[in-house]
Amino acid sequence: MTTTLIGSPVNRVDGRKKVTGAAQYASEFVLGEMTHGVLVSSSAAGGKIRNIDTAEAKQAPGVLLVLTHKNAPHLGKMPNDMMAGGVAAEARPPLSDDQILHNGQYVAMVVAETLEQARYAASLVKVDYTKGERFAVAIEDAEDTRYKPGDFMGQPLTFERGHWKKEFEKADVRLDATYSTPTEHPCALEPHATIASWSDDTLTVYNATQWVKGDQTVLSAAFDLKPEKVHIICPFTGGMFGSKGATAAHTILAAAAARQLKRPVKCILTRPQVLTDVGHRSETIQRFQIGATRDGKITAMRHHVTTHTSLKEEFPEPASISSRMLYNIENYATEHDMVRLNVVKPSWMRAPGEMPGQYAQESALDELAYELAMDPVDLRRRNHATIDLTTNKPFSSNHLLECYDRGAERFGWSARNPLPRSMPDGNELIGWGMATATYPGYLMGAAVNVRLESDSSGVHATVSTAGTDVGTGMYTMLTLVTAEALGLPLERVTAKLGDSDLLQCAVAGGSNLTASTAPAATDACTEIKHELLKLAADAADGFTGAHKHANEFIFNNGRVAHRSDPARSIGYAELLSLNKHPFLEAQAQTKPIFGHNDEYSFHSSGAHFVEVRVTPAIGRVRVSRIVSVFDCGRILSAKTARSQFMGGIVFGIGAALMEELTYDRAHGQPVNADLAGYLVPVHADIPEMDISWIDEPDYNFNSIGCRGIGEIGITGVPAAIANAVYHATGKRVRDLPITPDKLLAT
Amino acid sequence: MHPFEYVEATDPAAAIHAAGEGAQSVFFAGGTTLIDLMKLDVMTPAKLVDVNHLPFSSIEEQPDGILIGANVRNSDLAHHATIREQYPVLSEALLAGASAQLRNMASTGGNLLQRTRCTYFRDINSACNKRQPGSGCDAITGVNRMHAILGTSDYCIATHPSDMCVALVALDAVIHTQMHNGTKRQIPITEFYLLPGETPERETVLNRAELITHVHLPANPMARRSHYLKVRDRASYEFALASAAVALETKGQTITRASVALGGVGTVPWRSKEAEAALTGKPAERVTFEAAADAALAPAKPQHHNAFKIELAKRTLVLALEELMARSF
Amino acid sequence: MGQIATPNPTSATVSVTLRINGEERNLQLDPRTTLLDALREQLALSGSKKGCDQGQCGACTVHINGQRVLACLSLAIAHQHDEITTIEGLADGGELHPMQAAFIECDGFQCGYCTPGQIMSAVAMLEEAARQIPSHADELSLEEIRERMSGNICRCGAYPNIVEAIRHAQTIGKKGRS
Repeated sequence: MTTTLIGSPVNRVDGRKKVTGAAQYASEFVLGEMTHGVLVSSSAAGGKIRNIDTAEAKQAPGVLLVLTHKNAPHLGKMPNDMMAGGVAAEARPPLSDDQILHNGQYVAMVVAETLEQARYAASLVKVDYTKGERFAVAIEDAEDTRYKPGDFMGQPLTFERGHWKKEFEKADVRLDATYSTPTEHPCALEPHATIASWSDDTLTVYNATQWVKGDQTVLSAAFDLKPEKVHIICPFTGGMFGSKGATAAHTILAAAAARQLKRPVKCILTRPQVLTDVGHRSETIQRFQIGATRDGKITAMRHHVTTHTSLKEEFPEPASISSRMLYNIENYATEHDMVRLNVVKPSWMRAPGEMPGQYAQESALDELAYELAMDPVDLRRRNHATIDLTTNKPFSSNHLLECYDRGAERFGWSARNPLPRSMPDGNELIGWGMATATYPGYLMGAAVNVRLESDSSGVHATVSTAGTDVGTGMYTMLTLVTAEALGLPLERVTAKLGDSDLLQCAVAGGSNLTASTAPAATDACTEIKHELLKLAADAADGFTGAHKHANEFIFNNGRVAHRSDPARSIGYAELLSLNKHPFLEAQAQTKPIFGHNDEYSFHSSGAHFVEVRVTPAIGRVRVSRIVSVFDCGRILSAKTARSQFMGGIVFGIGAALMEELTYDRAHGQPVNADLAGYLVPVHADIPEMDISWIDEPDYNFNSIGCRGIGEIGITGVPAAIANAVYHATGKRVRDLPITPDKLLAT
Repeated sequence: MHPFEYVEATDPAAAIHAAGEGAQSVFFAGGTTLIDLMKLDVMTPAKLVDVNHLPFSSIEEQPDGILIGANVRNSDLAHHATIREQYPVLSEALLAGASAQLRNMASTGGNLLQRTRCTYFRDINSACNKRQPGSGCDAITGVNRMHAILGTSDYCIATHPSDMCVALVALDAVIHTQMHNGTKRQIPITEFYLLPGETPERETVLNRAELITHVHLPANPMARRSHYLKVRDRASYEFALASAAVALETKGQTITRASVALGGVGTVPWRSKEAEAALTGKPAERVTFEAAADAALAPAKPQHHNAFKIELAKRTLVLALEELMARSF
Repeated sequence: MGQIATPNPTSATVSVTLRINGEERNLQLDPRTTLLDALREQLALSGSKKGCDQGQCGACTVHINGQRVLACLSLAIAHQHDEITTIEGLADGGELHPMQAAFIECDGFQCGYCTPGQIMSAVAMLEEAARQIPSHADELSLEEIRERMSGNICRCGAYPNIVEAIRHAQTIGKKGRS
C-alpha cells in the first residue's frame, strides 16, 4: 500500500468550523424554553450546614427552583471506577447531605429564567455553617492522617526489587534530595458546562466532556435509566487535560433540575468554581536517594512520594510511575504516602504521575551528573533500559537513544560548558539543560463504524465512534486514516464523534484514543474493501462480463480494477449502484492494552533540550529555545501531532515557571482560583520550538504502529528547565514553580 | 450581580447630579474594574452613571504640560506620540499593564480608581476592612505573597495594582475634578491617595459624586529620560511583584534631579522621596542606586509570605536606574 | 442568524438595539447583561467564547468600532451606538479572512475554544500596529507579536503556531496591499 496521507501534514478537517465560530461547544446548543442554573459554593471548608435559607432566593425575580440537600432528589448509586465504564467525580451524590468536605462544595443550585437572575438569586442563598471544625488544606497540617494507599490502576505504589538500601550505603556516590511540586490545575479554557433536557423518559445532555460513554453510564445509574435512554452529545470539547473525564456534580444537578422543571437547564461553572471544584493534580513531595558508581552506573534508587487526597476518596498522583521503569536500576524501592485534606478529590491532569515524577527524577539525575562530573546525556545513556524491570518484559520498540542523539545534535549540546554561570550575556545568564520524556503506551479499546455510500456527488465514507475530539485532532486523524485505507480523497470522508449513540469508545485520556481507534477504523475499511471486491466479482454485467472471484480484482486509486487489466476499473459508487447496495457498512474494534501485554512493555520516550535566559538581578527566567525529539511509534497526522507535542511542552513551561494553586490554611479556600491568580503561560512566555519525531512504527502495539502523543510532551520539561536554570545560575530549585523569589533567595 | 439602574450622562453636570442621587451610585467608564467586581458582588451599586460620552477624550498639549481627558483610553495614551517621546515612563507603564484588549477599554480616570487585586477583598466570604469596614483582615494572617510592604497598617495590606498610577506619581501628575454646583479642584496625585490606616475603605480624597475630568502632566524635561520596569511571575498579562518608575536628570556623571516611584509593593502608588534624596547630587553609578534602593525600602514591613519583595523591589529599582542610564539620549 | 426566544421578562428589562456584524438587532435585556451574554445567550452568536467571564483570558474578544475589547466586561446596554464585530462577521461571505485561513494552515489551535478570540485579537493587532507604528506594521518582531497577543490565553499551548499564523497573515496582507 502506498502511503500518501498517513504521516502527512494535512490541515485540521474541523478547522473551518473553529475559525469561524461555527464549532458548537456544549453550552452553545440552542433549545427552546432554556433555563439557567447557577451553583452556590460553600464558604466553609469543613463541618456541616447548620441552616440554609433559600426564602429570599426563591422570591427573587425569575427564579424557578432552588435545590439544596433538603429537597434534592434521591439519586442512584453511581459508578466510580474507570473500569466500570464511568466515573462519578465524587462517590457521594451532589446535595445529598449536610456535610461539608471542602471549600467550594456546592450547597445549592438556583435555576432561573435568565443567567442574570439566577446569578443574583444565588447570591441571596444564606448558609450558616457549624463553626470551629478542624480542617486541613496543607500536607503539613494533616500529618496525623498519613497512610499508604492501595494500588493505582492495578499496580502497587509501594514495592521493592533487589536491595536498594544495601547498595545505596555502599555506593561510591550518593545523592539524597527532596523535590516538591505544588497543586496544579488542568484549567481548560472552556469552563465545564452542561445543558440537560428531558423528553418523556429520555435524558439528553450536551456536556463538555472527554467521555460521552462514561457520562452515559453515570447518568443512567444516577437516574435509574437504561443507557439508551441517556443521550450525551459533545461534538467539540474546549480542552480538558484530564479534567472532563469524570461526570461531575453540575452535570448531575442540571439533569435533576431539568427533570423537575420539565425544561432544559444550562449550567456553566464559573472560572473560580472550575479551579475549586474540578479535580486538580495533587501536590507532591518526593525524596530521591540514588547510589551510583564513579563511572555513572546507578546501583540503587529509592523514590519516596507523598501526595494528598480528599477526605473521603482516594486519588494517588502516581509520581513513581516512571522512576520504576525508565532506567536500568535493579535495586529499586518506592513508597507512597498520602494525607487527607479538605479539598476536592484530586484527579487526572496531563501525564498524571509522570509530570511531577519526571521533574524530580530528571532533576536528581542532573544533580548526580554534576556529582560525577559527567555529561547528563551520557549519564542517561549509561543507565538506559532495554527491558521494563517492573514487568521484566522487553520494550516493544524503544528509540530513546536516537532521541538523545538527534536532540543533542539539533540543539548544539556538544558546545556546552557544564560549569554553572559559564554563559553570561549582558545582564543575563544563559543556561542549557536536558531531560528525558516518557509515557506508557495505552490502548483502552474502541469500536469504530465505517459506512460507505454514494450520494449525488459520488461516494462518501463516514467513520464514527463515540470518542471525543478534545483538541487532539481526532476528527482529522480518523478522516485521514479512513481516506488512506479506502483510497479516497480527504473531502470524501467525514468523521463523526462525540455522541453516545455511536459505538463504544474509551475516554479521551491516557493518550490512548488514536491507538484505540485508528486500527479499528482501518480494520473496518479492510472489511468494506473485501465487500467491494466481492461486489465487483458479483457484478454480472459489462464490467466483469460474468461472475468471477473476488481475488481477480484489486484496488487502484480509489477504484476497483481488474487484476489482469488495471485500466479496466470501476468507482465505488457505480459498484454500489450496480449491485443495488445503498451502502456498505463494517465495524471493528480494538482490545485494551494498559502499558503491557504478555510479551512486551509499551512505552514512548523522548528528550528535551532547553535554553533559558535568566536575569539574575530580578530572578526572571525566560525559556528561549527548546529542541524536543520523540519516539511515539508511527505518527499519523503530522500537523496535529506536532501541535500535541507543542501543547505538552507549553504545559511543562507553565509547570516549571508559574503554575501553583495556593490554599489559605486558616480558612481553606484557594486564594488564586482564577486566571489572573492561577497563572498559565501566555504568548510572551513561549519561544519557537524545534519538535521532531523518530517515526518508527510499533507494530507490536497495534496494526497501525502508533502510540499516543498527548501527554508525553509535558514530561521532563520542568526538569529540563530547572536543570537549565541551575546551569545558568548555579542555583538548584527543588520546588516548583521557579519564581523570581526563589532565585533571589541566597 | 445586583440589579442596578443605568443612566447615560450627556454632560458633566448631569453626570454629577445623577451620581449624587442615592448613596449607591457610581460612575461607569471602561468598566474593567467595576463590572468585574460587580460580578463578584464586591461592588453592588444601585445606579451606574455612564460617563463615556462626556467630552473628556482628548489629549491636549499645553504650554505648561499635557492635559489628558479622563476618558482617554489606556492604549491611546500609551501610543500618543508626545507621551512616548516626552514621558516614556508613562507609555511603558501603561503597556506593561493588563492586555491590549483591557487597555482599549480602561480609561485614564478609571485607572486612577482601580481597586486592589487582594484575593480577600475580592472574595465576599473573607474578612476585609476595605470592603466591609470593621470585619478584619484575612490577608494579614493569610496568603500574602502578593501584598504590600509599604504603607500598610494593621487594618489593610492590600497592594495598589495600577502601573499607570506609579508613573503618574513619578511625574507629579495633577488630577482635575468637578463637583456639585460646578466646583472644580486640582489635586496633586501625591495627595490623591490615602494610606489605609484605620480606614482602608477610604482610598482617595474624592468626595461622593466628584468626577475626575482630566489628568494634567506638568512640563518636565527630566521626564524625557524616564523608564518603567515591571517584574512579575509570567512574562505578560499579570500584576507586578515589584515595579519601578524612574526619571533622572544628570550633569556629567552627577545626578542633579531624580524621581522615583514603586509599584506592586505599596498600598498606594508609592513615591519615594527618600530614594530621590539618596540619588540627588551623587554619581550615577550602582553604589548610589543601591543606596537609593535601601532608602526607598527602609520603611518596608514584610508579611509572612512577601519578605522577598523587599529585596526584589530594591533590585528592581537598581536595574531600572541602570537600564535608564544605559539608554542614549 | 437565529434568535433565541427572549425569556419571559419577569424582572425589569430594557429595550436595547445593538449593531452587530452590520445588522441591527433589537433585544429586551436585563441591564445587567454583558455584551458576551447578549451575544451567546440571546443572539445565538456563540463564536465569542466565555473562558473566564472576568477579563482574564481573552476568549471573548470582539471588535467595537474596530478596537479589540473584552465582551465579558462590557455591558450590552452601553454599546447601543457602536459597531460590533464578532468572529461570525469576520469572513466575507464564504471567503475566510486571511487570518482565519492562516490559522487553519498553521494549525493555530487545538481545542478551538480560544480561537475566535485569538483571531479577533490578531486582526485588530495588525491594524493597531499599522496605526501606531506605520513604518513597522508589516514587520512586527516575534517578540512584539507575542507581547501584543498576550491577552489571549491558549491552554492547549498552540502559541508558536498562532504566532506563525499571524506572520503568515501579515505576509498575505502585505502582498494584498502592494
